[in-house]
Amino acid sequence: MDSVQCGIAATAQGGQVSVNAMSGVMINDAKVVIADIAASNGVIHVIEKVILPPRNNDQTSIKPDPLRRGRFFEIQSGGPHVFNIAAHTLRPKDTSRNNCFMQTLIDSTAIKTPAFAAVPVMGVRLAESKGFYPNMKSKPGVKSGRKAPGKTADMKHMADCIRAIAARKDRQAFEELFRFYAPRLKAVLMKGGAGAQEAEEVMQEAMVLVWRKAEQFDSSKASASTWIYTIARNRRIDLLRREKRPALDPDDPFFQNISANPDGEQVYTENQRAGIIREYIRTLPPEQLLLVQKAFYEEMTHQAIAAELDMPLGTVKSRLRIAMRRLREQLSGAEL
Amino acid sequence: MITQHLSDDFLIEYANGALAAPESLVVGNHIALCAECRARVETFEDVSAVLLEDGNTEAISADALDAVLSRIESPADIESPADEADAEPRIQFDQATLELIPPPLRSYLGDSLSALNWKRTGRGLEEVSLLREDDVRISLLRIRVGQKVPSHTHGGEEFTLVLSGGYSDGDTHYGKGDVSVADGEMDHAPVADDDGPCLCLTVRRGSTRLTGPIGRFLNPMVRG
Repeated sequence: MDSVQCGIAATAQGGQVSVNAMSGVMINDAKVVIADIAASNGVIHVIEKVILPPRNNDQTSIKPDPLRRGRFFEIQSGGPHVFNIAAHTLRPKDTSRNNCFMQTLIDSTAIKTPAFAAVPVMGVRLAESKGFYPNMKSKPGVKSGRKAPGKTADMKHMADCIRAIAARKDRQAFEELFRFYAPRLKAVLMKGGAGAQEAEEVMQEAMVLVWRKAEQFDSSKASASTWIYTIARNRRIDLLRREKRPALDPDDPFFQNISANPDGEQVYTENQRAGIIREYIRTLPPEQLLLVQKAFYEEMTHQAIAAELDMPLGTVKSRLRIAMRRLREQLSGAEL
Repeated sequence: MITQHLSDDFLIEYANGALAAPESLVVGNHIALCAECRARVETFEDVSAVLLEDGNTEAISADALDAVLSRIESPADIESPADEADAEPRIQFDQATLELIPPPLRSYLGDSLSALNWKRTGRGLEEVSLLREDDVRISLLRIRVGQKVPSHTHGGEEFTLVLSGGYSDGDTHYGKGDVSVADGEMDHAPVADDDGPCLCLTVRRGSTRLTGPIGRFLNPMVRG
């Protein structure tokens, strides 16, 4: 395991960068958002902004915070490392097996507790890392033509909108849901392989069903997003193969002797549960994040993921299993 | 107490809608019986929902909202399988059927259990074929009390979900709600419990091959 501590790392220009692992890992004032991507000639850590080399060897801006106790930055076999800094690339002079360089991506998502000590992965190139997180392309200020309002939805509010439709056929509430979900549903449908027109059609029908089924929404069972996602997914499956997925009615005679809920399940509010999941996804090591993205956003089969990434099927399955087991641990063990 | 669950692989593909329909039927009926796996599927749906919230947006057609708003006013607009599935079943099942057959399986049954066309397919073994398509066979299987099923292997995977009663296969016992996944390699010979008949949903891919000394003679019959 890598060990990351605090301190100053020299850069080849003669400058220095501060490394701080007290609260997440920071390089100067940039957070490390994805750590330990094994590239063909080193290891890449993605940080959230461009670090420019100081002009005229001006080192004042990169002193470590004296209030934070620091030790030197150590990787694998230990010992302080010296980095080259060239525009936004940091590279160690040492080209031994601990070879490591740092590369910034401009558009990435801030992560509070990056898994800097993640197990290094092989075969993941920087080019692919751009696609790790679905919203990378739509960050403000970066090449993006289509940005919907609001990065993360307030699930309580979205749930209120659905309840308003159920209670009084509230069109304004529906329009609000539509503006947030319609462009996202269309995007995920297209990512899953639908053509633009087909995706538009499924999205529109799903939104009609959101209106019609609003009374069935039960926020103790699913968040607004989960409920709407499953409606769109079921609509897609219906159209694709006429498979029926009826909603389970707890009053059905079948359930008289069957427990409705697993024992000891944590109860969260609408926003808490999504928050834990979101936080967990953002801290996944890159190789697991990529698979989670393929399985849960692009809706690919394990087989298709294995083929696309040229990875053994067993590896895809076991990595996803591990990622989901840890998520369940987070959800069951999180202190609230 | 359900002890034999489906692995996350199936549950993930079910949650993201990528799993084929026959396997989805097994998952859907297992999670109707199994609160633990149902919670897992719901967690996986939550993961997709979070990625959806944080995901890209795609430009929608300019009149999309108007189109949807006009459709929500015309009640008979969407004739969808989803609506059909939510509607009251056309068939009036008897109480025994309603208690034994999970809701996701009911649309595959043309009638109550006792009125189905059960066929004897072996000693103490009855089967109703619910669907046969390409290389997939979906059946209900009824095994007589204490009956041993001839040992067999499969051309592809065989899913067995216990709906009532139970059976043992080697050292493993399968009770109500338990599911077994046998691959093409597995040679097994289930024995029904001796306290009642065992009702199972089976989904098989590929052909079944009997492997016992007498069973081999019967192969042409079971494959028909």
